[in-house]
Amino acid sequence: MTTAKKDDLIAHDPLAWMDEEQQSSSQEPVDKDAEIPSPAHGLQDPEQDSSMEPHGSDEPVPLPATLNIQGVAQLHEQLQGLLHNRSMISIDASNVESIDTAALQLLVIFRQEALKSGLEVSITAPSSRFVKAARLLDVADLLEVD
Amino acid sequence: MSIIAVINQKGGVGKTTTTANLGHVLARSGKKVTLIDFDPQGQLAVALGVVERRQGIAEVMLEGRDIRQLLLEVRENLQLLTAGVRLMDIEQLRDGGAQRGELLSMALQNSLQDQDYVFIDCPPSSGLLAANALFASDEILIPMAGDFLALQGLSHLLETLKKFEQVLQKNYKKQLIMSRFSSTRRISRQVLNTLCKHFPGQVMATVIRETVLLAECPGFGKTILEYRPGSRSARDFRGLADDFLTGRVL
Repeated sequence: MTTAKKDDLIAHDPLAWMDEEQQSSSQEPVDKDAEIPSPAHGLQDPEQDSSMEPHGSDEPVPLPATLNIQGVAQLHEQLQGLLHNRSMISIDASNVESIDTAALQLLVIFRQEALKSGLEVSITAPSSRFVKAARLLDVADLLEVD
Repeated sequence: MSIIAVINQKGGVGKTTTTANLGHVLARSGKKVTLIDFDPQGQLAVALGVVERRQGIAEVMLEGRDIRQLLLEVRENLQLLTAGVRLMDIEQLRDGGAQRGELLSMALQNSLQDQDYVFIDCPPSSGLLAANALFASDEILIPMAGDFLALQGLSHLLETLKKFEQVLQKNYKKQLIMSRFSSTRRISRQVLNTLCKHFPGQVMATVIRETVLLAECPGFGKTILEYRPGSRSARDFRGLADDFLTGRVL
């Protein structure tokens, strides 16, 4: 049974047997006719690695809990770095507890600029605080979080 | 023609909502779509505005009725085969041996060849009806709600699928849809992450967010495209249909 990490709401993973089964089957002789599972490229737990992801990955970019003018420059740099590596950018706003005008402005402008160059940017799982702040500043539609 | 089972043994995960709305978006895009209401509760038909009980897939399977005579043209390019009056009887069948599981497959044989997609809206159970749906299908769509019990239910479903794959010696194309997703609940996000971890390349890119409108539109016999075409739920389903057609995944 997998153990829960801090903040995990899933105390045990009912699908963990799939991994165990995959591991045990990987130790068995290779069946040339069997379908080879592709390497995992799904969403990564943001707790595992909050730094920039490997080149070309489509993993979501986690936003920190507090996002304000002090962190805007760093976030801008981080997002700019993705522009040439990605086919789409997913920004995970699920942990945002506090966000100010400057940070929201950055996200709106970044998204608009990226869209102009044909790059899709989506805000995934925005926290209620994020949505509330976006609504307050009337940018919820622009960010498509409402 | 692809035959696709929309299945999850857990109830309330969005099977019927997905079948009705995804089917309608695909039909509007020009695809020929048939929906089969395979739940004895007959709620897919109600969601599409067909409220009277009428003969349907049950009578095709049990009485050999001609499927073409029972199809209803519910929207342009969209046909519906209702559950029928006796669908629950199939769950109770004791005679017929292994053939009891092949009734749907046989009923669909050489039928609906002009259709692009046939979606089977399965009941929330793992009995003979679900077995029939799995025998008949090539692909599986699994709607998932954003809660822990849905994960638990998925685990059971996968065990069932595995047995079918062994017996039938085929690998279903499986795709998961995150339906009833609540962006304000962390558990929804964590369920989505868990799905992506275990099913890389199999979770459809567009999540269907839970909204009041999706809960309301079946009461009017309308899909979301008809009830609130400009809503975010309508956008979600358009995005999902696009994912379905283009293979876009998380």
